Amino acid sequence: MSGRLYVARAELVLARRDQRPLREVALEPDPLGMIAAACAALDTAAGEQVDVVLDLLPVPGSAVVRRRRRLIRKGARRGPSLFGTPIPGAGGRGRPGGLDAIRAGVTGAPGAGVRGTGWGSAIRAGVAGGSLAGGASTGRGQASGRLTPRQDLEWEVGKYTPGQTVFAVQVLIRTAASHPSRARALLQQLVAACDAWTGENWWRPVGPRRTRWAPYSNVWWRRRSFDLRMERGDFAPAAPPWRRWVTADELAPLLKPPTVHTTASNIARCGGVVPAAPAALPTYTGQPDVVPLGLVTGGDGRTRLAGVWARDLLFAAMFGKAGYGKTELGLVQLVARAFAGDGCWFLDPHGAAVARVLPYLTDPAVAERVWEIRLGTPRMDTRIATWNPLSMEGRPIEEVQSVVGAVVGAIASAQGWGESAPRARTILSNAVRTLAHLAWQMCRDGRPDLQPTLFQLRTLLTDEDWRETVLAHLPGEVLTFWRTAFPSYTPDAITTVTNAVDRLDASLSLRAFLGAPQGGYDVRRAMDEGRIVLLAPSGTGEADRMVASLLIFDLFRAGLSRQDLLDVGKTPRTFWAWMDELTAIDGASRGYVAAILEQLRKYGVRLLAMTQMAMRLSESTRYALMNNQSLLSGTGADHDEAVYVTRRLPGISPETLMGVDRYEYVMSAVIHGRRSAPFRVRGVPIDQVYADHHNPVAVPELQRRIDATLGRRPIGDILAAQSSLDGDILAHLARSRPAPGGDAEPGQPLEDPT
Amino acid sequence: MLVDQTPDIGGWLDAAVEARWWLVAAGGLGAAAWSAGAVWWRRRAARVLRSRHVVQVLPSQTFDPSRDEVLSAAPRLHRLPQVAGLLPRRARAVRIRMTSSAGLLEYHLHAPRDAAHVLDMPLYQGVEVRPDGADGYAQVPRIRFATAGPSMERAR
Repeated sequence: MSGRLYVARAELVLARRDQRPLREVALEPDPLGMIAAACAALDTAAGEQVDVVLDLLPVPGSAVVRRRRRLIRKGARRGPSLFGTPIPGAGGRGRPGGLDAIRAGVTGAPGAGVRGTGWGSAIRAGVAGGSLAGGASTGRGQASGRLTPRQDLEWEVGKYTPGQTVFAVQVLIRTAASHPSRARALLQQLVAACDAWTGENWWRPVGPRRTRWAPYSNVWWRRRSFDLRMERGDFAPAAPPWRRWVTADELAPLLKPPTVHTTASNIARCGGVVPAAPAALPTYTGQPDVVPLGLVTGGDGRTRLAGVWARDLLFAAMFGKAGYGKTELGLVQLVARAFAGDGCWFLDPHGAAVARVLPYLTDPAVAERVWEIRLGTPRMDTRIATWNPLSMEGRPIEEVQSVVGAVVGAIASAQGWGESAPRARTILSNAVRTLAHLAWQMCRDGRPDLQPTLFQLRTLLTDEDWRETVLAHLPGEVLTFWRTAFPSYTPDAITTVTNAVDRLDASLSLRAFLGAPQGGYDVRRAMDEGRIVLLAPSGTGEADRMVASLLIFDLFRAGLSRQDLLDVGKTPRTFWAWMDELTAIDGASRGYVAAILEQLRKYGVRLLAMTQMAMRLSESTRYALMNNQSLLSGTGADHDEAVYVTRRLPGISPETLMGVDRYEYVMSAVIHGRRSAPFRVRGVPIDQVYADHHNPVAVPELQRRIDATLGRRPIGDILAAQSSLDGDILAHLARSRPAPGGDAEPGQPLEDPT
Repeated sequence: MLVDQTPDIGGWLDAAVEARWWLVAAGGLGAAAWSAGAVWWRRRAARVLRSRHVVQVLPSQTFDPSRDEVLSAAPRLHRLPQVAGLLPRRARAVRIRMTSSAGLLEYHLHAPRDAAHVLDMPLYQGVEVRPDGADGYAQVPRIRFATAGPSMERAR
């Protein structure tokens, strides 16, 4: 069957006169579940479809009143009866036959309570109870054993009691399937689903229905009208006017979408109701003072691309599963801030986002500010930037402390040491401190190209000769640890530290990235110059987390170092940082992350942190995230995380958050200093919203420019210089005079720099 | 007695025969006017039907209205066509359409275009009303930055 669809049609009408009510169907279990069950087995790829249509034309109350009056008169005329059946023997000799009664009336026999003359009243009198015998027996009939008229009349009126909402109805059912018998079978299922309404009245299809073939409305004389009404919406039911009306009471289960009281799961649901977006949210049209969020629907039903004011957004916490579009949201915001002239920093966990955003950053307004560092799987001639976390170039000696804090914090977080590896921390702290001092010494000697790198940690801890030579040139406070505490450490404590460094050694690109004494990547410089930094450290295997930690802690350190700008009264330039996977920084000491989040805003650094599995973070980090945020966003999450996030989203249930679609978020933002109610946001893809700025042709040119500004060199060259670094350091130190042991004299100049 | 009470039908018939041309002409004109009106009314119905407003009503996972709530939503449906003004009967009905789409049961409401603003409001608590656009969602606007250079103007 090559896609030909067979259609079965049926129109349902009331079987009896419409004052006879249908059964009052309860709302639970939901009868719409049966319709859903019929839809469940459809082969949608082949185009099979089911449509159940209910057209409702409101009937004005006056028309219902007139109908009710007519029914009451009809019931009154019938005389004593029960459920429409006249009862013989009640009321004397009972009601005379119709024609005799008319004759009796016309010939003037008196009836009870008749006034006036003329045809109408005479007939009425005769039919109402006049008998051939005249008034006497009528009176007697009224006195003895006649049933209460009110019950008959109530039955006659049926469902048209006062106060009902009444509609004229047209019910059309159409099924389309790839085989005619299947279409008919689906149709029968749906018609059978309407049997739930069978009571005094019931639904039945029009058209030939008594044969086994039962085409219903498929017959040629009904088909055209059916199709026209189905497509266009004409109200012209096949039922005669006295079988068209139904009340809202009877239709109740159909007047609402499927409820929770059905076991069918194939029902299109909205995943929780979230209030409409506040009107105070600015609409984003590219203006520099707004950060875009996505499409929101306002209270008036209109959808617009909204954002938050940049000055209100100090820290954003975004929770939710991977694959729900948080990275895409970050990219859209990055391009917006880049074009607004601010500095940006984007840490891409999976590597694809950086490649995705580069074609949008080729415009001259932003191109010269772009830095890109990608540590995928390169070849020897791939150009790569370098970075030395231990570099003291251009920094005063006092900054050794912050360098040590950043590096130790990063490695401890990445290794998950927490509070449980105090010896490893101590060894690492002192080792880094030693190397930082050495780096400072090298810079002071005019040889910044001989600064030690992270890989010298291993040499320092394992190569005793090298260590002794180096220590001889360093001030006294550095030596204390090595002379007193270090000899007492067992080898396994040292191994914990060297294992961490070995992780970095495992990848070619990391050895090149971190193994050069000098580097073009300086995040403090990026902040001050407003650069757009794109980092993709992934693809390097086990060390991903460590590199991410190092980069993030370095960002924090650089942010805090902007205190020097505040000290001279300058305002730090705004710098936006998007980072994923906060678990990379969670292993820092207790309270560190909280302190950082509180302080960074003073220095103009705006963090937008995304995390999945918030419950994996430590309690203090989670608390710090929640407390400090000015934009909270939640998307698809598991139950525990949803409970945690919805505590800060008043009015949203955890089930709502768990059921949110992909690329949809529930957000709560600070607008003009006030926190808003939660609202739903739909993320926009970058290729649609910035389509006008997409220029992949200019990307190679952009890469060449980045090579120049970042000083990217081929990996082969970097590794060649790296292998000899240990020896070169020793050689340089041998040429200079060793500093007096025990005295701290860092300020003394050396005699003959080479 | 019957005959005495009958109206003078004979007299009327005589008068009608005398004025037959006028009557026929008047009858013809009346019929023409009536049929023209009927055709226009039918065409108006077709026009109104072509431009109906359609929304999809999505219940939430915990949607559970009471019978009372449903019965108080019914008068809202009753009122919808009245909001749209004087319309032909053919085009005045409110449509509830349950359709299968990708295996899911969807619930849609159709109403005359002029009643769109009432239709966009949720009938119940716990449902979301989504207008049926061309793709069901609003178009994503394209952003153009003011700071972008002129060299980015490319033929699209």
